[in-house]
Amino acid sequence: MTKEEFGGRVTTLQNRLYRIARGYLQSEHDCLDAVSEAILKAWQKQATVRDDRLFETWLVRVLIRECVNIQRKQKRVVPMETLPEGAITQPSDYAELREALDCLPQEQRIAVVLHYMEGYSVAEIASILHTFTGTVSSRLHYARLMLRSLLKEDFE
Amino acid sequence: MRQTHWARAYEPIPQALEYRVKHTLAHLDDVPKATRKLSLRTALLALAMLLALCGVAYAIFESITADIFGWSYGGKWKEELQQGDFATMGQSHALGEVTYTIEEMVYKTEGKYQGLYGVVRIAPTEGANIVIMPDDLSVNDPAGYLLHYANADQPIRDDDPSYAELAAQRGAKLLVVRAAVNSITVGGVAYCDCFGESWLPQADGTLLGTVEISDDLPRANSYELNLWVSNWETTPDGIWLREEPGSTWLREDWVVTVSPKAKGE
Repeated sequence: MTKEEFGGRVTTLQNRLYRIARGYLQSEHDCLDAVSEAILKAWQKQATVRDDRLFETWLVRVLIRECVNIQRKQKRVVPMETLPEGAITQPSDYAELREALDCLPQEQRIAVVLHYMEGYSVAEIASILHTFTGTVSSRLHYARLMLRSLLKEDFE
Repeated sequence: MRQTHWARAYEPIPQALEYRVKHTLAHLDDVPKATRKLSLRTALLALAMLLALCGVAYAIFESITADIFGWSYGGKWKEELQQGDFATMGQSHALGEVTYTIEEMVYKTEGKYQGLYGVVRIAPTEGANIVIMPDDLSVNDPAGYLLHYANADQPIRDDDPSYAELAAQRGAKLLVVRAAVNSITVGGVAYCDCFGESWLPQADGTLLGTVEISDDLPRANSYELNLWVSNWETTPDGIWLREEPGSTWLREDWVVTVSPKAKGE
């Protein structure tokens, strides 16, 4: 993949990458750092992607790893559901949904972000997160239950 | 709810993103890439040879734990860990065809995040015809490389085999392996519920894993470290054989006593 092709694909995916990072990290600054670092790592290692069709899910995996590394390095082990009120300040018409998402345990929130927000299939998510499809389905199930109780809305 | 509605939960996307991505893409060439400097892999191999030559005395002068964490977190970590209290380790535990060995444990006494740090090596048991891989890589990833680390500085050749290809070449089973900290206790009291770990595939076919237990872990004469070790086969397509019928999943707890010695003890 040439630098131009790589840049084109990354640019197409940039909003998606940001939202996925946001599923892990609450600060805009950290999210931008994670996206930026993931792009650099992906460029360095892109030769290891043997099937071009897998580039996107591979890039998401690199990003997720980077988000986890940022959490680990900064010792930000405080789960979002325990963050003090006001930690997220960006205004949005969907603030209620965002707050509900942030109440979910991290693994459920990421499953929801990847599935409902970004449109990945359960099998793709299982591949990205290196887990079973049953586990992903289960996380989505419990996330739906919690979101339903928080937002009084059905999510099928 | 539609996908676009979900996406709005994390919107507006900051304008800084576009600038940041453009800036990053403009500086791709600045990233050191595919140079032949001493890689971690090479350094660790050299270190392993040195370890074989020097035996236990090695720990007095150098530390594989300090080297790896220093590489990962920065030179300050290396210095601080080198000044820590070392536990003489080397205990091994076999599970199926895989052997788990604690290479070293260090209680970090200097700087922030004091606690226990160490290195575990996972290797095929002698005579076993297996290829092992960590669970956070794909069977299609090239074998023996640190793909998740930008600072690994390892050139990867097109003809480097993937884990699946390597197993096929050798007629070997492909096993996913794992070792994780279950708990750590001091005098029967459990500490910490957050343990860090990373896996570093090595060119010799082994895996080096880091263990990091630093949250509120006090200095004690000895710790009971409970590790959960496991391994299972994966197909060349990456399907984990961990479910019945036909599960290949082996797992058990392994309890090790870690007794760091203060300098001069």
